[in-house]
Amino acid sequence: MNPGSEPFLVILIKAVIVVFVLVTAFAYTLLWERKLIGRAQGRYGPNRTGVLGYMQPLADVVKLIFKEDFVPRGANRVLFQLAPLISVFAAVAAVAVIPFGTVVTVFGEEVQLVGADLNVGVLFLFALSGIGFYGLILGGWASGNKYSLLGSARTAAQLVSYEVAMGLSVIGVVMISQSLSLVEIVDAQRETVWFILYQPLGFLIFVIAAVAETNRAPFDLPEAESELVAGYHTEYGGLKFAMFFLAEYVNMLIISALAATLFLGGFAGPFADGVWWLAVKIIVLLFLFIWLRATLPRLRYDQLMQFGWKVLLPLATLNLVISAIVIGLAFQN
Amino acid sequence: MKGSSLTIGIVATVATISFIVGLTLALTLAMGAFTFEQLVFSVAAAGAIEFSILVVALPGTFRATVSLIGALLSVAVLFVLLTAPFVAVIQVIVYAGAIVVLFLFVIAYMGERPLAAVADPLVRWQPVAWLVIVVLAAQALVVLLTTDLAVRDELQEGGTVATPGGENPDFGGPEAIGRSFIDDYIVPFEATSLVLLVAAVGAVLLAKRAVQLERGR
Repeated sequence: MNPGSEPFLVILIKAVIVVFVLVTAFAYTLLWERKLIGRAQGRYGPNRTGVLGYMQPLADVVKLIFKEDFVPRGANRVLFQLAPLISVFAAVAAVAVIPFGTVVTVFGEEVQLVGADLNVGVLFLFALSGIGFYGLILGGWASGNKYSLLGSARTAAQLVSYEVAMGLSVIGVVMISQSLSLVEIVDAQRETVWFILYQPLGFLIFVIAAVAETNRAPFDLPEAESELVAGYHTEYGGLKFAMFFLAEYVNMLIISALAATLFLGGFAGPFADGVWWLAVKIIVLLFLFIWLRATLPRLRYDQLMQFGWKVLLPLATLNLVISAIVIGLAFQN
Repeated sequence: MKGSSLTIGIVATVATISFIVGLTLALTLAMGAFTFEQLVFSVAAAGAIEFSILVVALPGTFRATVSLIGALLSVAVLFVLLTAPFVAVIQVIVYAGAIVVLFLFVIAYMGERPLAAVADPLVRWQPVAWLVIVVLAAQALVVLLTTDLAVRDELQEGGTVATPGGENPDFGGPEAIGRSFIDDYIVPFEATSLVLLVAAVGAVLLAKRAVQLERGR
């Protein structure tokens, strides 16, 4: 569908709903993570604010809004303010190409349940993740703090090391579906089977690289608190810190949605297709993220680099070559 | 150093805003009507020019590299306006997303060490540089005058484009570009990859020699 074929008002309403859902989902992912990690460590987690602690995110937001807006003396003012904005922009913009369903009719208006069906959707997400990393890198550098700078240097190294493997793991899916559009990738899976069956290794590599790309434990070296205080966001507080936090969790949601869309059929599922299937898949993947964090200790820096370049990249390349040969043979017959 | 960087910033901002206003006005007069696209083009073009100037004008290496990101993103916007979304996205992933990140990584680790002012051995090649600039400008002028931009307007109205491989509705899309890589332009494409390989090997050799000169430091 052409991006310009829907009325402006429809696009606007879609955007407002999606962003509202996304921010709410962020707040409750955070709460859920704190509760689960609490359980995994033999404690309760937040359970006092509201019923069973479910008003905790609201209280946190109010607290963060009323904190002092602080810029350290040695900081580069412009970049320091700009960095969290870059992160949030890239994270939230990425949701535009994730399909939530097919065309539905609301008040006589045909609405496609996707922000924009780009013919380069997969690449668009990779481009935005690349831009989002600049928030971390520039924020760390602009803070004028050694720990922040080390955190951002690590971010840069980690991004370059794992993005290659991630990109290669996706190419298998693109080759099967013959398209870079996420809508068409989901359609291809609705006609056949989920691509995880064709690309199990690809899925595994994608998920591992995804954990590294979102800076989550055990790959959270850019913010390793035992060595770098808090890494790139050491000097950030109040709302600006909240924005980095928002970006990290929205990235987690987006990358789960992307994994679900590419390998697990997206909104397609048994019985009836719909956005609830996507939600279920995202929740399962989010649980995996949190479970990993509760279970695994942080990697050492050299282990991180060795794993990325010597294990993940060769495996991804192997997967790509085998997929290409098999798909080539299948197309010949 | 701080003062000069501030001056450069102010001058650049004023120049950019006047450029945007001027270009939008000129386009509005030339086309007879104002469209949103003209504004986007003006902003992106001004961004590309301003950030490129800042890359060479800013004193700090890190700041110059950050400006480079701005220049690359502006060019990506221009690609989108030219109905080449694939090229735009690849531009962001490869250049802004990977290469400049590597630059920043190296700068962040090495620190912004002021280089000792040595006699630049490239100074005597300056006439050649000017010659190259003139040749490139002439080439750009020829390309600009001979490019059929009407193709783009036709595409936006939902038409197709006749390429060497026949009518192509997916002009600028991933499939069309993939095809032109492996069908129509395979020799230049492979030649480019060979040149890049030679450059990579050359870079490794030169770095090795530099390391040996510094006795492994």
